[in-house]
Amino acid sequence: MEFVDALFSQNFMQLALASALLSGAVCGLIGPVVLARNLSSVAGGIAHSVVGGMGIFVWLGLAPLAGAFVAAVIVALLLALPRSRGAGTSEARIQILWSIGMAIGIVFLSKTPGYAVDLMSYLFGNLLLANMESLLLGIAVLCAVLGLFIWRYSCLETICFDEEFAKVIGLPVRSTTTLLYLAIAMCVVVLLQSVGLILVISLMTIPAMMAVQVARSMRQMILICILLNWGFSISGLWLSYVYDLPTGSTIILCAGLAFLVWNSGIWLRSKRTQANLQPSLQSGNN
Amino acid sequence: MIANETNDGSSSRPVAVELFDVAAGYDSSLPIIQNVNFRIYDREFFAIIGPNGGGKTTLIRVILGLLDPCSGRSEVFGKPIKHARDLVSYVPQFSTCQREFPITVERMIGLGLQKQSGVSLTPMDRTSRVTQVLEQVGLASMRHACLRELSGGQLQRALIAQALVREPRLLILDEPTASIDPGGEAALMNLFEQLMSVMTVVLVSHDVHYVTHAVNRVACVNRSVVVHDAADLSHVDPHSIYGSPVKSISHEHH
Repeated sequence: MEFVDALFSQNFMQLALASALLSGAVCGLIGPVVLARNLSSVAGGIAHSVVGGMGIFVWLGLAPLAGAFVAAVIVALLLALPRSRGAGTSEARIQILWSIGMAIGIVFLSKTPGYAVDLMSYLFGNLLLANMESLLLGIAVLCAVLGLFIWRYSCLETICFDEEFAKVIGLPVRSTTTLLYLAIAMCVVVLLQSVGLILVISLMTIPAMMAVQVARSMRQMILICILLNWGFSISGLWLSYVYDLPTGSTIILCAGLAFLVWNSGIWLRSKRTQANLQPSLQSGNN
Repeated sequence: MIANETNDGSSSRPVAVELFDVAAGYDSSLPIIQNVNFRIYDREFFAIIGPNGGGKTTLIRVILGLLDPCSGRSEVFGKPIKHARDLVSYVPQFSTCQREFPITVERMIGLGLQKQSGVSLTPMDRTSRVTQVLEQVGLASMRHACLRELSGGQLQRALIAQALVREPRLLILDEPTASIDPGGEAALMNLFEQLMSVMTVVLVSHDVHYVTHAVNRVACVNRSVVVHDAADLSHVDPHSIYGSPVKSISHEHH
């Protein structure tokens, strides 16, 4: 009740809730594609390398979120480049950009005079620090990702299902993949505020891993992911408010717990189905 | 390494695929296949056979335009592949597609109808084309099933339907019967034989005895490429065609 009162009376709680709903929607859209194309390491690489952009922008006296945005876009474009000889595997490129990005960020932050940025709030997120600027950024990113999905939905669906087939029939696989990487980058920046860069991958993949088991289409999967993300975000926000816990980590713990319960339910159901089948098979044999 | 073509007496027939001195691989200094010259004729039932690692996949990736040759060129119906994509369809090995991806058979087949220039299909046309190919491959009853509910053989047939719905002039299939029981295999081979009246069918397989019973000609790929009439291979030990280790077979070039 106290939480509901706070939602109606306190501006920072309203901003936090709006930010949580936006992050949930963006992640719900992008999560199924990240899971289907096995891009969670790309999301992780972008998330960690944005520390470089944040460090440089803080050193220059600019907004760290803007630095994160610039770094995320640059890293996404570098990862989307076609693989050439000597450039290493995609996985190696991700690891290199990840570590170099973080190193740059830490060096610049350590040299920032009067360094006062709460890095922990970007590492682990804090929805309660959401402001109007971050909300507007979230709305812009949601519109951009939604636009990509409306424009290239069938192409994205084909690529998720079978990239080779998409190439053979002449779909714009390379440009769609580049746009997808940029969408992941923007999604990462939005999530910095809510769950932080360490936990970004969880909010993209946990709902998708749950939804893929029951959905019958990519549209259904996206819808389930958005609803699950909203559920995790609101319950995480509520628990963190009531018990004074870190918001980002509480959201991810809610998602993790739901994932365990969901999979246990599916495992129990399959066991029950097997148990029901065995007597009928035995009577069939007799 | 020598790659030649047998005299098949078909020089006047329209050509579906032609490779000119192609060398290809994933490292230009170490091509997997070299000096490849052969033709596949229109409405021919053609097989590509060879051991694992011999270059079958490299060869079809060049034909499909998924891999640029290190040297030489390939053409499909007299055009570079990028200008002939509407004429080509491909059935990958079913292990390459995301089987757990949430999609129904009907929707998956419908994805094959994208990006066909000059073809404007109404929703009714799309539905009727999907229905037609589902009946062709014997999957009409599974129209609304999710891919994860299909057996290996059913999934393979769904992939074939996805390729056929584009009504291609060239259909390339990579190990299409690998997960199908013998009964289903015979039904598929009948289907491919029927398709020959309207399109060129190229089948990739590692089973020489299986393909030689059905196809017109066979390209044996083991770093080099040699094309044989299928009838000449029906009584031959497969190891004499593409034994291990790598073995080059040369034929007189007619």
